[in-house]
Amino acid sequence: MLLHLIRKELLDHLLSLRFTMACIICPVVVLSSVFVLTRDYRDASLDFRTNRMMHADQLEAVRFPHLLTSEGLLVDKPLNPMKVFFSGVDEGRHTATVRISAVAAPEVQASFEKNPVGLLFPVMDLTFVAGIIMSLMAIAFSYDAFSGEKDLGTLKVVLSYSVPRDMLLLSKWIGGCLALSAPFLLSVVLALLLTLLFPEIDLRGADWMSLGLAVAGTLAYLSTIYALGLFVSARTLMPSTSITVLLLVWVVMVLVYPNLTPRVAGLIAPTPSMQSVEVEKSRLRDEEQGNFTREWSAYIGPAQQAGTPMDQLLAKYQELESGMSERVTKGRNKIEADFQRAMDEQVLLTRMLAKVSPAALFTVAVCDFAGTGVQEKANFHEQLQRYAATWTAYAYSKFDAAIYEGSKELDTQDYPRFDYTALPFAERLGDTSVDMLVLLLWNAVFLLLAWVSVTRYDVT
Amino acid sequence: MLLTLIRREIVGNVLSLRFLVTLILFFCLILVSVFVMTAEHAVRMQSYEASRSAHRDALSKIGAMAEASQRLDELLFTQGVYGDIRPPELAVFVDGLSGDLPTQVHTAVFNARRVDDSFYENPVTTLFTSPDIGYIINIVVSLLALLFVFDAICGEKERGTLKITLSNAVPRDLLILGKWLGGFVSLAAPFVVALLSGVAYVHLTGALVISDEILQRLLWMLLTSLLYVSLFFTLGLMISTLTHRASTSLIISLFVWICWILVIPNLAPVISRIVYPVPSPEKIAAESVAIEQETELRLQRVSQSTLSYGREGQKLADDIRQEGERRQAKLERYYQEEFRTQTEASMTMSRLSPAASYRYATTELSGTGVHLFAGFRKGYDRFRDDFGKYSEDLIERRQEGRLGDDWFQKDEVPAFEITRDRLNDVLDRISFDLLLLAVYNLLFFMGSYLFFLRYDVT
Repeated sequence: MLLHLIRKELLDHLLSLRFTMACIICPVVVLSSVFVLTRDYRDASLDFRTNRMMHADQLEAVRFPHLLTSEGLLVDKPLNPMKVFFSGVDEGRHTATVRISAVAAPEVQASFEKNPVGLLFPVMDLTFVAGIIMSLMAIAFSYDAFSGEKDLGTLKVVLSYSVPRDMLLLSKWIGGCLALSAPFLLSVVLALLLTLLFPEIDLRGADWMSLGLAVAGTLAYLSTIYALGLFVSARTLMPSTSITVLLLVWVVMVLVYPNLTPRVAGLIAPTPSMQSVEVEKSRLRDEEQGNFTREWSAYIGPAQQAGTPMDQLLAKYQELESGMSERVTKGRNKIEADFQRAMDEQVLLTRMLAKVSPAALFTVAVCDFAGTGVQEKANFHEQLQRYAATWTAYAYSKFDAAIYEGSKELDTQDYPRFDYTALPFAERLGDTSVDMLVLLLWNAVFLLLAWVSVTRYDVT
Repeated sequence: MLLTLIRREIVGNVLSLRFLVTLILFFCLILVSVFVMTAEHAVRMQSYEASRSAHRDALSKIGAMAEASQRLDELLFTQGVYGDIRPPELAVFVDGLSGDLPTQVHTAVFNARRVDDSFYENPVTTLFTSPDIGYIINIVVSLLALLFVFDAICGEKERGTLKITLSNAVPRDLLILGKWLGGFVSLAAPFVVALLSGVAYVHLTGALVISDEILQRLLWMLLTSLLYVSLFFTLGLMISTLTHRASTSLIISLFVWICWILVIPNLAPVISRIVYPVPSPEKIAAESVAIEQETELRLQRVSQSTLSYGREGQKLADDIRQEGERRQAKLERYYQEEFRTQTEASMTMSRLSPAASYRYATTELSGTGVHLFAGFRKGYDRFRDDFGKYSEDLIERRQEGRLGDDWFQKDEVPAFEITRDRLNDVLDRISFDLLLLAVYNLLFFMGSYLFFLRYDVT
């Protein structure tokens, strides 16, 4: 009987105007957004290669070892093809250039050349399509599931047969979710076919698993919203009341609350501002740099007059600068650790607050599922810190008096490359499984509430 | 009779569930938004003031250094100069692009820093839009306006009351006008009251001192918002006169809302990126480096082969240098021109949706719009140019031994500044968007009127 009921529900949806609307909106929006993001990806991968070559050339042009420590080198973040589907944090930027040196923290280079119109409107990726557009579709699909049938009088007829109410609810949920998922899944498949036209998009095994997990998360989210629709429909007697209440809930849950979460978390668990951290770091650096300059100036003049050999001069320089660098790094690490601790608390609180709304939870979690979220950013930052330490050791190993005397050239062919590796899928899955569970829990809660409401629903 | 119709409409609305819901939503959303944005603005202002005074202190320290030459090294080569960007006052209401600008800029002779603020931001913030009043009106209020009116005509037909009303001597044009006026007043009244209470909250907390200019800007923002809300209200009315069932009207309204509010404005910038591609800053930087290297090579060749020609050789070297500079300037001009074309194309395309017009108008009025970016660019270029000239002059004076002990004056150090537009200029710029909103209003009302005249009420 369940199959029969599901079939009826599915057919009802397939023949409705809203299904036609979903079939028009979803593929058009998904395909156009994936097409555009794929082109962006292609351009960004070209930029990435250009940048890498340019930065390698710049390093090759360095003649003296002290420039390796003071000015360092520029490294580039490799691209993540999953950003084509879920652009995640970083406002859709595919790559980033970071300055690594021995005397300063890794510094992401800001780009002031942005199309301001693009910034006024959010990036349209699958998170946006599913999070906002498809969730509204889920409301439109479900708002009259019970109240509408009651209004039409069909609910009375159906229940006059030996159809258990729980089975009716289950069939409505399954049939509706299938009808809602169909245009979305079709759009995703078409989008994947579209990406085949771009050889730059090279999805590996872990990417496929990430994509699968993200799509599963999306379906869990859409079914949650659908279950919410069933619940409200089973609590109200008229479809107009259902839609009014549902849109009110949707507006708060999808459009307003998620946007408030990071701001509220920022107010409850504030972090030191960028300016104050920068000022503190600059103060430390300037102080140490000043001490270094004074000590070096006091040493170099008399040493040169006394005819001190170059290797001794260089050894002294290295001693002073590495001492300075060590103290600056130590102080800086402390400042950054304090900041990071506060930021971690804020992010944790944001994630906790996000769990209250399935939409906020979905937006944060789906990016982590896809490997473009908060976790990946933290991983990138961690790897930069490790690379900076490796680079510092390498740069100091290159100090050689012969280079300054002109008898030898600085050779940086063997410099350590920045090989960024994304978080392994298994590790990501472990960390994000709680989010997925909470999403499923929301689903169960709404279904349970709907079940309680349906069993008491007055069908007459 | 019109007054009776309006009264009936208002009473009908005020007693409905959706009015109560709308009223509660307007108050809650606007007050929560204002509360959060005010607190955030206060934090931003505090950081700005602290950073500015720290940078001033750093300059004072340089001034206190014993040796003139050491001061110069410290200022030009070690520390450089920082410029802090003041958060716009009206960002409390419409945040716009103010969060996308850096909070500070830096320049120095070597290694000018371009610190990316996003490192210091909660990464989750980038996943969500700023919940300012501009966003609430743009997205939420437009949806509520449609929800308020989607069954104004077809719902009455379904209930059978439309037939009864029109069986009396009520002209259809008066009825539709009464519905529009009554409905819009019932929607706009709680909206305006909620907005005013939001402004009052900001004023009372001291986050915003309402000067004449700010008051005028706020009034224009209110007018723009009313135009925008009435546009969606009229659109909903038109859809209602086009359909015969409330559920159909609702689905069509939601479809139009999704396309107009969510799809078109977000797709327009990306489509314009495809139609008017601009080379990336990285490509331009690579091109610039190539020009530099080529100039350098040519100069080396000149110095090796023609220096023996004396003055002629020198002239040739100068020509090569000037040509290099000319090519660099041309490259920069080309890039800026392409960038400007792309930005304008994005704006024009997105104006297919009134949501974009509304966003442009309100962000410009609050001083956080597209022109803030242009102002920032100009200010940043000027800041770097001024610093370049300032440092060249100082280095030259030191080389010629005429630096003097009192060369360092804090007021003479180049400062970063963004020129804010005057209200009249802003109004000139947004007049097209306001006109578009008004035209849409008129078109939809005409549509509603025409369709209602032919509406089958049976």
